[in-house]
Amino acid sequence: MRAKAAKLHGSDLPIYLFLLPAVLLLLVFIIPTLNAFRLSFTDEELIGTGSLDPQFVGLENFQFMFTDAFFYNSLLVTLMFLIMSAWIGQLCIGLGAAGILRKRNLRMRWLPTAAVMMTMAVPETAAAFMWASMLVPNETGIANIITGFFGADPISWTKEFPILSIALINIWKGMGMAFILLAAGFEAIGEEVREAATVDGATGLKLFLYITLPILAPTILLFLLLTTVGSIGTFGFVWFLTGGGPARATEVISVYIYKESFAHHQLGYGAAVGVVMLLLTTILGIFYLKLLRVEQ
Amino acid sequence: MRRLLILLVPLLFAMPGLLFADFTIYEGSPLRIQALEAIVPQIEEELGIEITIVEGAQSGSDYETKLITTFQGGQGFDIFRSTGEEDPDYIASGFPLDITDRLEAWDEWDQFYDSAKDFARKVGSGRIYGIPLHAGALSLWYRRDRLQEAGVTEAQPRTWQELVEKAIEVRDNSGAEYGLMLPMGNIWGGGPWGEGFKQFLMGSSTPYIVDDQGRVVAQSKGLLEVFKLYEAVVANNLFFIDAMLAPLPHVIPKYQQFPAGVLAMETQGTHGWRFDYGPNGATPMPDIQEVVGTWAFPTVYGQGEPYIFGGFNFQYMIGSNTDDPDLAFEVLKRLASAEQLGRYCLAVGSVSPRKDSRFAFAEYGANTQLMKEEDRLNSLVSFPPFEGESAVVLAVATATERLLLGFSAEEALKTYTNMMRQAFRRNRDGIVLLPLD
Repeated sequence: MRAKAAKLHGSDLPIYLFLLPAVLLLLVFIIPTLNAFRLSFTDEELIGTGSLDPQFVGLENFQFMFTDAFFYNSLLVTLMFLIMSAWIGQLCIGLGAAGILRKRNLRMRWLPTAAVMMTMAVPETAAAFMWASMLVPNETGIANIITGFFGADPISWTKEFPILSIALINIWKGMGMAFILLAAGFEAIGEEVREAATVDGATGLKLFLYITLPILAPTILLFLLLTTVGSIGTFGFVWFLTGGGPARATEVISVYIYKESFAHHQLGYGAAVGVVMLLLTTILGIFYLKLLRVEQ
Repeated sequence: MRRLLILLVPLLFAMPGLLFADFTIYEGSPLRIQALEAIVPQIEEELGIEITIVEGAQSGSDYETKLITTFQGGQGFDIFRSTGEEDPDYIASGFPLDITDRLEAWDEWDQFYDSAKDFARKVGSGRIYGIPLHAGALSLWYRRDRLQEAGVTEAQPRTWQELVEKAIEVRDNSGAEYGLMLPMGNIWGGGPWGEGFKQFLMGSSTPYIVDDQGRVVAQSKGLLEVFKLYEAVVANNLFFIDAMLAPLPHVIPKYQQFPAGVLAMETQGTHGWRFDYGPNGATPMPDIQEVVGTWAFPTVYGQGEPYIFGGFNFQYMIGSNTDDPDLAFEVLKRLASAEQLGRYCLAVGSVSPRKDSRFAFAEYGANTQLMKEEDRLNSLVSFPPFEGESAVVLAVATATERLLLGFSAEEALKTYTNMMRQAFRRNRDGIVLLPLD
């Protein structure tokens, strides 16, 4: 028995060694997370005299958060951003694109496929500059040139439709991933299943609602999980394009955290908001996973 | 397996050495980096070291974020360029090394203007933590051609009311569509506070942002006066308001409308001569010397002489965690040589803090505009940097955005006060609310 254990230990060592990078990588994520939890109970400031001697303040940061109207505003903005861009926009466009482009007899299928996928290859900074030129508020802005064809006057998009503007960009950014996942889901639906349904009289919408959608459901849930987590963390292009304005209309939670941590220097408070968001995201993630299990 | 571990362990220990270079200098913006690169090979050869220029973001807040997080993460740089507004906070956090004694023992320190030395001392509350890099001044720029078309005199406006009236007159009676642009709104970041608001505040009834007890002013008659001026500029549609609420808000007014004469007046810094409108600037204006004139800032009721707001801001500082402070100071001396500061200031369109730069770097000395600015260095006025300025920057940006959205000056002031209260909630004695009448 002892010999067997020793043998097992010896043969397992390479396995542990191969696992080591993954464990190290996990630690790289876990240690800052634990540090954020620690920070959230302190009054630590980023710089200045307040950064020199941080004190434990218990739940003070959380108490302030739940009385701060700007925190609730950012939660609401984040929720609207998620609903408009991730849950509706990316999903619908991704589903539509994957559904249409799965038809093998479609001519030049590679062209729209490449166009959809290309959004994933554009770095966020480059995308932000590109969208900045799209949203120029006079007749030189590309969005205004397009609407001008239909007789509309130039408008300031980020002023008139603040959330919609940033939601559109997030849809554009995320539809590539939606397309990949959902196209893979479509591929998994065997032709014989569709043929059988057709023989039974299902066509068009019925075929989609009662055959395609239920089979795609696990993939859709997986996509929703990924895009929800990704969209909650959106910061770069929102900060660049609107700075959270006008009048906090696009102040998603990450922008709120950034302003509190880096402009007001309230590192402890910023960490507390981050911790709450982490918990909310985790709850959402668990909810999705539970649904996913039910579907499977 | 042991062999594998033997190979891995030294590699892990060698990683920091592989990742971090001998000597690091943190700098941002292509023009500044270009000026720095001109001297780095010479320093490397003289001191036998390898220097890595760590490139920061071009925009102020992103540049600061990288700087702060690097230091707070326990790393830091051997030398870094500070950002002016945050300097007192950097010093309080222990980022830079105290170089008072070294500087005073350096024979070339006498070549720096007294105003530069005073600035360095003020920032460090009596001690010196950095060498000022350049001075800049902000004034009101106007298009001579548009004023002439409108029959408006180029005489210096004495009050804010006079300034607004001139802007309306030019807008109504010349080819200019807009009269006067003042940076506002969140998306412009530090622009609203740094390129207009604080300059006007200096000419208000309460011309200060920190009181004599060191408290930051969160409400005052002067602040309300400035908000009212801005409210008037918005209400009269004196600039393209939508641009201020869109991405890259400075591009349309500064780089399109002013050079084209669509906008008649704007606030602009010394750097505008080169950085914005110079031959290699963002939008070159070949006839800039003929077309553009400048005014000093008037006071609210004409209660004092108009003034040019400006002074020193950025500094080169030695990181407190540098391995070799003596070596770092040797590098710093070379970066702050008469020739190098002349080169650097010419590149960014600013005034050298050294009296001898104009002789040491001929191209800088030959720039008449910068020489004119350097000659009036001692007449410039400014607020000294203070702890918590970044909160003021954000509060002014947010409050002026309210004006862009049609809210009143009183509401903008309320927004400013509330944001200051929020920023100073842990240090309520750090702010003061002064009466409004």
